Amino acid sequence: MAILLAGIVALNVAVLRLNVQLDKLNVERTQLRSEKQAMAAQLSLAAASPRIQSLARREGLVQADPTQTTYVRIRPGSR
Amino acid sequence: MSARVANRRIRLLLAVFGLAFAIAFLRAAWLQGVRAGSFGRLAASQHSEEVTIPAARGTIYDRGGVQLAIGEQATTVFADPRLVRDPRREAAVVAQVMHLDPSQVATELADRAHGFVYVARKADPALAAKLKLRHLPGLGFYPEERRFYPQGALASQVLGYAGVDNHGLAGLELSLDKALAGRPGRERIVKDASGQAIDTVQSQTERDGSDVYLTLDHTIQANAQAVLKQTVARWQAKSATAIVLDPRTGGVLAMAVAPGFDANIYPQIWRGYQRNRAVTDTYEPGSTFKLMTVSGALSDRLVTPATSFVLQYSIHVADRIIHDAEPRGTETMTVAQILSRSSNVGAITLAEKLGQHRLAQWISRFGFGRPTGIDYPGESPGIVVPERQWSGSTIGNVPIGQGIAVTPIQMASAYAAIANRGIWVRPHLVDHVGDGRSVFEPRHRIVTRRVSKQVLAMLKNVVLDGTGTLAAVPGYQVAGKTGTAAKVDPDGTYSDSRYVASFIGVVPASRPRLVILVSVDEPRGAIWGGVVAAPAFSQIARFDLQYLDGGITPDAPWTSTSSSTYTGSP
Repeated sequence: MAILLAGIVALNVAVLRLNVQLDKLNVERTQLRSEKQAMAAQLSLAAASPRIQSLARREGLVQADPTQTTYVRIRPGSR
Repeated sequence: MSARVANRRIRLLLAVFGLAFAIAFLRAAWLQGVRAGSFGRLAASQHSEEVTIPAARGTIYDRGGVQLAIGEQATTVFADPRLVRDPRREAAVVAQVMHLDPSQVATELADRAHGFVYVARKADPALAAKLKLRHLPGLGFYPEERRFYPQGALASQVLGYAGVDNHGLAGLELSLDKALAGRPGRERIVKDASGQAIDTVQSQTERDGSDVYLTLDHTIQANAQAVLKQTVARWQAKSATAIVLDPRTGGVLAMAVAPGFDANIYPQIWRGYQRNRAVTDTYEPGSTFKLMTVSGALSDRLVTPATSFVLQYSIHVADRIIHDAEPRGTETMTVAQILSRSSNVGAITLAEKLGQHRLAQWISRFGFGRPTGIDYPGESPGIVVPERQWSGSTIGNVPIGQGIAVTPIQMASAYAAIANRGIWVRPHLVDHVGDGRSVFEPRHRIVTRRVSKQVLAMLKNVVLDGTGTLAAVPGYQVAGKTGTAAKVDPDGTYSDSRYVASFIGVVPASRPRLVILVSVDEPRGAIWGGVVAAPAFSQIARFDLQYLDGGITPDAPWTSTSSSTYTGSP
């Protein structure tokens, strides 16, 4: 009877521990999700076309002249 | 003490015990029977708590996977004024850390009639963390998701915005709210005496909102917005609209309206700037509408591009005399020249050949007078006078784009049908939702392949030597049409100072990949579509052709910018 009672108590303690752990993991998940969102915003800001264009201009790059662009057609099977 | 006295005392004691037990029994019955429910609820509220788990709102991506609208973690700061000891001092600290108005915060913190007031809703988490470190009594904090538009003003009229409760209030945020919002979850937390969670019973798992992938391309959109901004500034215009459409799929690559606004600060923006004029606003299209008249006459085999007409400078229709934009003598013009020189008299002559009934049918066939069905809320059907209400002069107005109101998206899709070998495809902004597949949009034939080819060839002349030479793009063949339409004054007459200048073009004309519409509302200094809108078209097309798929192969490598000189007027 005593062993059975001890087993039940041990089981309950284990469940409680797991719940506390689950709670901590939930907090961690929220934190990670928040970090992911912040990084997604940073990525989108970095990919913004006006920003890239202004950086390119600062580096001295200019938009290519379409009449100066040559397109090479590669036939299938050619080496 | 006698036995009698002792017995009496024992009986008294027994009665006292009996009474005490009876009271205890009744009390127990009262507590566990009658009051059991309310005490049970009270106990449950002390050791367990039902919480709503908010679902994360879905992200809106452009066609290349760049985030245009995302959920961002924020912190809401609240207060229980009854626990605030010194409202004025605390308000000063809160206002300083959170960059708020101290007097307003002080008023809220001093309001002891309420047990809960918001101090800052969805505030910057870094500032909220600083405030938390001050350990001010009565203040509380909880995390919330707020909507963030990382690219600010990019496609803001199309995206719309979500409100403080994370529900869409305008644009695609509104129309896709159900998919984006998801479903909040619920769980019951069982706590120990110190408030630590010891058990969590989840009754309903939250379901995050679905991500939405648009057909918009953030680079093409940004360029279109930049060009429109320059155009509005150059011509001191009221506003300008641009649409870049893939005629083969109906996918909208850019839908820009200037002036734009930053969706992150939408409450501060005038409602007029928030409108997506490309879909919700109508205008009289002017000469760009002549395409429908010419296509109808060609389709009904009444004329060919080479059929010629002797045209006077003006034409009498019922009680009206309509003339061409530039004074000229009587001339012979082919159908192709009518389009390239944008002759009003010529277009009306063709419409008279078609007849009122067939013209009305062609207008309807091109989709005017009803919404295109684009996946954007609040689309206007435009205004088309029903045939039975036409007056004698209507056939002198409508063929040249007067007395009819259309939306930019209707016009762009009509031109896209010509570019797509005569097949109209429903324009759309959403490519797919979640893991779903791209939807195959409804399509139907409007004109034959032969007619679309003839019309495109005629439209090329508009840019080569007609009214749209400034729309030329070096290296590419451009087919397009200029439009200049007077706006209607409040007294019902056509204005002589307020115009809408527009240009709609197809590039590369030999193998169309893009249909681009530019319309400029009330330009100053010049009013002609060929002067105001055509250069903006050229700038947008030039950029897009070099950018799309790593560059679209030029179909006219012999052309250069030096050959583009403006010769016409409308």
